[in-house]
Amino acid sequence: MITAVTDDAALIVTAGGLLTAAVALARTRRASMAVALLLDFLAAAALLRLAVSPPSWPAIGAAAVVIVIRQLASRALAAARAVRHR
Amino acid sequence: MSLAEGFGEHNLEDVVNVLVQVVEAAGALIIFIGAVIAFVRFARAAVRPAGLDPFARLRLNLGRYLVLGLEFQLAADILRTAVAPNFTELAQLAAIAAIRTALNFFLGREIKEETDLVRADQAAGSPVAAASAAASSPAASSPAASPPAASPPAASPPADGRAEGGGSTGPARPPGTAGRPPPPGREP
Repeated sequence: MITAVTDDAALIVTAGGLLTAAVALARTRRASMAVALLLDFLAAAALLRLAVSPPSWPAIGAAAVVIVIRQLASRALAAARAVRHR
Repeated sequence: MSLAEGFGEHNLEDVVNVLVQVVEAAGALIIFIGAVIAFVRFARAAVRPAGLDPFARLRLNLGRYLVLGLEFQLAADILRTAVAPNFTELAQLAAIAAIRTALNFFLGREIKEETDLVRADQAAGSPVAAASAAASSPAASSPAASPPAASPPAASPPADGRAEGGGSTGPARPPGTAGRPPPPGREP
């Protein structure tokens, strides 16, 4: 029951993140902002998927991969922004 | 009958499991509500003409909800360690706790950096946001309609006690020269 609810919630958050990133890209023409927004929503979805008991190793691995990608992209975007602000 | 016999290990496990479910559901609910609020705010920011600043604020708000939800989920992880029966469950718990702790740390750092950036943009007048706002409203881009870029700093009175501007006889000083001494020709 809880697993189904969290899975649905994660799906909704993922869809919202995709929509948000697409509209942000269309409005601001800044891919960095759109990617940052998408990664934040995907991290939220991964955390929702982890909130089931007992968790599975694939879910743990997927969450870890999302967060590592999110961290790498965030660092890269921050570095690019710092270069642009100089 | 001792307390340990009356309140057996299975009962304790049941109680802790219920607590874990409740705390973890609270964390998941906070994360979901944060994502929905961020989406609604984003929709409003996308409909209204605005600069880049609302999107940065939106990320900040979502990050704060994620951090709060993570705190609840970490609490549930700590509770779960009380009843983890085998090594596999303990390893999964350790992996999840490591992921959540790392994300919590990085999110906290990013929120601090993003907050500093937003404040710096606000202090600098946010040229990107101002350009975007000017482009979205043509009336605001005309010189007559635009507010003064920066008011001159408050002038301190001259050392000889005269009023600023030299009264009504001389021309007004250009902005930015308020603190300078008067030209030699105007000295008594």
